[in-house]
Amino acid sequence: MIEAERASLAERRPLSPHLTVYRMMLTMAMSMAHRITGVALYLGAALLAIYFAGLAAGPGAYPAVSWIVDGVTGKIILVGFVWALYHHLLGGVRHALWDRGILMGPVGREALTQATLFGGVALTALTFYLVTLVRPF
Amino acid sequence: MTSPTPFISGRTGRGSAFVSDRSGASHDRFMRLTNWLLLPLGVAVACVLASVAANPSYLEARAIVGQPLPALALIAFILIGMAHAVIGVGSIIIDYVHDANKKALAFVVNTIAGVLIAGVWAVAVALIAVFH
Repeated sequence: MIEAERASLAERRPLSPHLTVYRMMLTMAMSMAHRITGVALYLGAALLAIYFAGLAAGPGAYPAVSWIVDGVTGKIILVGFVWALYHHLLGGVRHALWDRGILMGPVGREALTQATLFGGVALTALTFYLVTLVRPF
Repeated sequence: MTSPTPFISGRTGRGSAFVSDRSGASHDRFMRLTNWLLLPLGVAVACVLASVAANPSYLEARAIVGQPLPALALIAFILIGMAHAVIGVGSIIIDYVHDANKKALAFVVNTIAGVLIAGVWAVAVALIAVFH
């Protein structure tokens, strides 16, 4: 009886209508982008795990996985993965700062959100530029 | 049950934020800690991947990934990153999957996928580094 009531309560429990109620703001869009990039990184990590497995298996297996890093598709995957990584990392820093009450004011939070948005793009471009210039590995 | 936590309230200062001291609180601390750990590792992995993008042939890619520092960074990144990702995706499951059975299944699939991805990535990179 109690279990049935509990199940009924769970079914009738209201879900947050925040997406349809609040006006879309940059901080809200970036919160959604944080989750989307997180899921993209999860899927990208699965692809890269397959790539590393092919690379470890030897030259015979490599052509089957080389498309993940080579050609137009490979470039899109790697640039996308690196951008998502930087965007997500900077988003995590933003949340950690907000946990400490830093840059929580109306101006500060917008500036920080914009900084993480542009920072992700800038760091991606800088990484690919510097790596072709310096060749660290 | 609620209890004082080390979280810092933006309004009232350190130690004054009260949260429900259940798994969510420890998960939140874990996500913040791994975020800081993943910062340097993420930059290193981004550099390795950009290098592989610039040199995608089999021999060049093995030479890049098989070096000790890139290999260590890749392995540490995926082990810490997937632990972070499994909890992150878990919070999305909690928010959007409300049926108890589907939620339980999604948690199992998420955990198995996380372990598989991290395991395949880490073992493959370790093999490349060892037989470099």
